[in-house]
Amino acid sequence: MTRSRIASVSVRGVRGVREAVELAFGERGIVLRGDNGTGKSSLVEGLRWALLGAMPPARGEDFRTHLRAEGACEVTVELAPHGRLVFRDGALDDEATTEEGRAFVDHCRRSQPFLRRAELLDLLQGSASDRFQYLARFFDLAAVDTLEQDLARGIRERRARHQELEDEARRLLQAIVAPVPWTGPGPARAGEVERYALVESARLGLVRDGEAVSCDELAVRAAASRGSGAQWSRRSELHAAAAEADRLVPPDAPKTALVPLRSAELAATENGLQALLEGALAHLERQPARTDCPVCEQGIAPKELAARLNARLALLSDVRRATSAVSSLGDEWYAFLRTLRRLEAVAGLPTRGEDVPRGRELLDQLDRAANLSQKIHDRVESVRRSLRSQHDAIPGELQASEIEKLHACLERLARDRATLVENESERAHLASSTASLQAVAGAVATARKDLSAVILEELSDAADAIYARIHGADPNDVTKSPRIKFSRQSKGLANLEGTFADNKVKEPALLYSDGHLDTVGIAYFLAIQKLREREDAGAPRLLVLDDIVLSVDMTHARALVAVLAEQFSDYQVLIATHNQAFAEQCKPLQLRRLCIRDWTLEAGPALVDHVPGRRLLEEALETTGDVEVLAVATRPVLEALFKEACTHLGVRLPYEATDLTFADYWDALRPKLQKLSSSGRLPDVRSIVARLGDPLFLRNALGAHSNDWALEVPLKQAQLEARAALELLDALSCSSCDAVLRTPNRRDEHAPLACRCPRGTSPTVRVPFATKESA
Amino acid sequence: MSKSGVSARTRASTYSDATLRTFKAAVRSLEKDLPEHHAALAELVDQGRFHDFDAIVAAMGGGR
Repeated sequence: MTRSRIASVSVRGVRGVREAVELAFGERGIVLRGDNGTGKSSLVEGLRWALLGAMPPARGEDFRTHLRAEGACEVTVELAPHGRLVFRDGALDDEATTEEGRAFVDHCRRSQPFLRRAELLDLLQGSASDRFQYLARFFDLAAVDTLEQDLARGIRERRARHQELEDEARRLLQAIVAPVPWTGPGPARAGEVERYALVESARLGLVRDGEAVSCDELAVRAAASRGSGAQWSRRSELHAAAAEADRLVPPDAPKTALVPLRSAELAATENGLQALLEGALAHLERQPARTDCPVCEQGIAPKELAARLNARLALLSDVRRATSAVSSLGDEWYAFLRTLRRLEAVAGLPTRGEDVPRGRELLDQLDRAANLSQKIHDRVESVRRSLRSQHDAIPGELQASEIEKLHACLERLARDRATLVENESERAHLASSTASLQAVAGAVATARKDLSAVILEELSDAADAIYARIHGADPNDVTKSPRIKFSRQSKGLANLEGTFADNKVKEPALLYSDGHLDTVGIAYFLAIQKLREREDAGAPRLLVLDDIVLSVDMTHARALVAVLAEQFSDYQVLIATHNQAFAEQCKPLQLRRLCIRDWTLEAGPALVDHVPGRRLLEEALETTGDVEVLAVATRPVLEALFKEACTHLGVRLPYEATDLTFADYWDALRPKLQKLSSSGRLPDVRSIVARLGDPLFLRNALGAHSNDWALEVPLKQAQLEARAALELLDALSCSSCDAVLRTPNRRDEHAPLACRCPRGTSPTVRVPFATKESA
Repeated sequence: MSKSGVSARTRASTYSDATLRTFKAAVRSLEKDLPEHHAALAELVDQGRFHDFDAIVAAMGGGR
């Protein structure tokens, strides 16, 4: 597979770039140096806009419109071995962009090969959630994102449809139960209404307890039981009869009267006739002196006889009382039986026997019947049951009204049952598929988090290795690369955990120096690009680094260059920097070196091939007699030298590096150089230091190009400064790699200064210009 | 194109390494929750169609 590379980039009409500016990349890329405001970032951002399709958010419309009156914004990227992409006025030009160009853009948008300091700080200082979102973009989980979104939408749609169906069912069921006094929340299913109808039917007497009846049958029964006027009259009659039957109690058993009567009658019979007795008694009373019986003329004692007769009359009186009791009981039975027969008639039961006799005849008749008590009980119970069941079978007016309502409910249920069944079936299907989709969504989300934890661990390891490569050489450096720890909360968090002097640091952004933070960001960016190699075989081997060493000193910047040279040797690299020293440190990357000479509103940035500062200064000394030209050439050489020397020699600076002018550096460096010279650790540069002058003088001399009073500096003085600058550069630089010498070991105060490069170590003091001057 | 907006012709080999690992792990964990559909879902991963929502719904035996 041939991977596309950038052959050249042409930018027109973007920010500070008005006319088209072309950057020929070459095999390895470009290091583009330019001062502030000369358009180097405009070129980088033009490329970024074309490849990523997004401008930095803070720039807004101004980013592309302020020069637009002159023509469309346009970025053309020629690819090697073939292909092109043209980004015009905010969008890819479909006609002019080749398939390779579109693929290149697609890969770039996923790998995001642009690194800006602001993004680094966002990564380190932002919230754990934002950090995770930023990093997760590089996992290349677009297909997972798509699936998660589709699953979420599918689940949402199913829930909405389920809710819609449920609402529809509730509306239907609400209408179905509207006629009946349904209590509580409305029914959700037809089954609830069916159960209700069955209970109500039982209550209204349409079904017997335990009887299984379909709703259709219930409807039929309800229709037949809705009631009429005649039925309600009959129901009243049955109600009254049932009440009477309930009160009906059989009289005492016939024997209770018959037995005493019969006994009395027997006694009376056995003891003579009443009349006879009464006559005899009267006779005795008229003739109390008589001694014989007036009936049998046998001799008797009248008093004894009278007692005997009275005893027999008493017997007859018993007979009369018993006869009266029989008569009374007979009447009771007569009335009872008449009532019973009447109630049986009301109940429609068959009546028994002929006309009912009365008195003793009735009692005798009843007394002859076997099991009279059971039979009478059965008849009474039978008539009660019959009356009650017939009564219950006829609904009252209220009940009829309830049945009418139930019937209406059942009719509506029958009408809508098919719809409800279909509704419930679809809801069941939706619930099942929603549960399955939720299971898939849950599994994908969990797997994604598991994988995120693993990848962030790998990323931390890779960043750690790169950071150690940049900072590891210094044994006094106790600031370690922070690791990114994944937390499963919410959609995922990427927590930073730094290490400072073996202590855990939760907020590295608050504790680490700017230089360390920049290095951490760079290390993570490079680690991400390595991750992209694995995730996307087609990912372009491209790094665009825009002003990334603002706070990184040259020692560590050089180590960064070494990392790029070793681990990213197959990458094209575009480095934009204002730092002359860093641009020169990029030599091992074998990049094409370009320099923005100046910028004008009409033409934008003017690019020339990079010329090392030393050579520019040497040429200026040889050719020009202009104080301003000499000052412009001298100042960057000294500025880069002062900064690097302060770092390498451990010069204590009075303020933060970002607040210092080059004169401040010189003020701090001067005594150190004098001390090192006097101790012999450095070739004696005291005379050079003296020639360069004090900071105020130096600032005045080299500020000649930018203030009026500085013009008073004579040409001879400017030449003197320039030569002294070259001499100092020689005295402090390695003869092999041009790096500024450093203290090899901070604890050894007597060791001569040296360079860490593998070849050169000892400084050489060349004084060519001093020689010329003396000549 | 499927409704998901991603070509259904995508195959497993075109998934990024991270995507493939995610899908395989997800399907592995579904063996317990959806045993009846597990084989069909695993096949979708092999076919490079696990990102396709419609294909997943079909594999689980239901219309959209």
